[in-house]
Amino acid sequence: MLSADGTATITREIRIGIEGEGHFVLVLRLTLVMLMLYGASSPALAVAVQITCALMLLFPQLLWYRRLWVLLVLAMVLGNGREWYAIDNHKYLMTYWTLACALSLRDSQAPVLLRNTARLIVGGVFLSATLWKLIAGQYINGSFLYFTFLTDPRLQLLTAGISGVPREEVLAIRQALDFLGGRGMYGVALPVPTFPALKVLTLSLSWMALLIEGSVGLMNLSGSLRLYALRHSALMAFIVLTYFLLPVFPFAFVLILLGFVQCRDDDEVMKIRYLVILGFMHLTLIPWQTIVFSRW
Amino acid sequence: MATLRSIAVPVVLVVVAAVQIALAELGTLTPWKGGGFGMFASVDAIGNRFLSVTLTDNVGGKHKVAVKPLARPAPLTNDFMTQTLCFPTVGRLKAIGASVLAANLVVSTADPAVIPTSLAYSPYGPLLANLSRTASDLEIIGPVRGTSSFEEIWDVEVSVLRVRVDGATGRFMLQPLLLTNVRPTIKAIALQPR
Repeated sequence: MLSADGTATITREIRIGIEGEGHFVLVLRLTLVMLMLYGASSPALAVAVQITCALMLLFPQLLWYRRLWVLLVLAMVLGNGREWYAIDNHKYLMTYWTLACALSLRDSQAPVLLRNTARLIVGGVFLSATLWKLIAGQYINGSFLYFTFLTDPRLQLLTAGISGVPREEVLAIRQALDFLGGRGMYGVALPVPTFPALKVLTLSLSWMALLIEGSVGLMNLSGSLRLYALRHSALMAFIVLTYFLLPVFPFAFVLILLGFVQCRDDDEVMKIRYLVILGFMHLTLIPWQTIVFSRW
Repeated sequence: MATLRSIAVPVVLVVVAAVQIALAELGTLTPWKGGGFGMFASVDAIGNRFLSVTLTDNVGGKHKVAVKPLARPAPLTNDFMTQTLCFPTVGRLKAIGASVLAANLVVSTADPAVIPTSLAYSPYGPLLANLSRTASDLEIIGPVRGTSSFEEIWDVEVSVLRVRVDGATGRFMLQPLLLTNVRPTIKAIALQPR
């Protein structure tokens, strides 16, 4: 538990971070917290990353020591790169972001540089995600989300709850798939049951996700000042809607950070919104689907 | 110089994403991994990929091998299996085949025609029960300690299966993504001159 003094210190640090000059420092510190919690996959390098991050958080002068940031980048590349085809995409994103921090510290205009880099990274990520949804061929007609809602264990309870379909019927599809896979039976076509309400829902969600992701990507790449508020609102909407449904907290964390760093120095409201979302995302750790939908 | 530094990282991101798209579209990498941000775009996730190993014996009988996590031969670690499902290569499948050949195998006592009760009473139950019966020449076996029940193994077929959903017909099925065969090395017997 934090003492009253500790809480007061953190509150003061956050206040300084929101109010202007400390914004950049808070971004770097939040980055270190994120790396410490979710940075490396390999256990040996995770320890190195965690110790480095802890030292940089404890001794503020180390925050500006560029070689430590380069060390973090190397540890993440070595730790995650060995299994580049098996690690989650947010590990890539964290590595890119750490590299961006390391590069920016050489510059006298570091906050501006980092802000621009973050904007382009968000643009690149969301356009890649949109491109995949267009080329995979299962997204626009809703069949990907429909099948995923029926077979992804994280969504099956929700699916049963909102579609009114008995839970056993929803679970049977996953069981049938595992049955075929476990026995290596390929070429056997099984019907995907039709639940009209779920069809409508998943098709709507598919187009909504495509629209939001495409917009976030384009607005961030354009960098237009007129789109500033809309760009942030769309990113926040994406984070809340997506990660409340599919709790991938590390991905949410890095996206929040990439949005937070882009806030104008004088825009305290926007900064507070991102920090509130960061806190709010912890609620995704509560198994709310089980609590709400278990009676189905 | 500042502009170059601000676009350096996004350029790396775009290059990695382009390579990932090429590897997933033209190769065997799952769209969900590899830095292309293709998660939640395709049903081809690793949870929907399966490893299939089938042995052919000297009389043409086919036997399914269940490569179970706890009974895997030494090189087949959980990490290796995950890597194989994420990005199967002929080399990895051959390594699995070679490990199965080197393992002691026994026939499982489980009846392959029996399907889980929860599934038996689902709409898929009758169809899957029927499939299990028609495939009864395939024995589900597992690599465990003990003696082998096979006189000779002629061939090991190793494949990674992925799910395909046909939106038009409303059906899903498993299809081989990559398949390879491993055959045991035939030892030459040197005949001694009398």
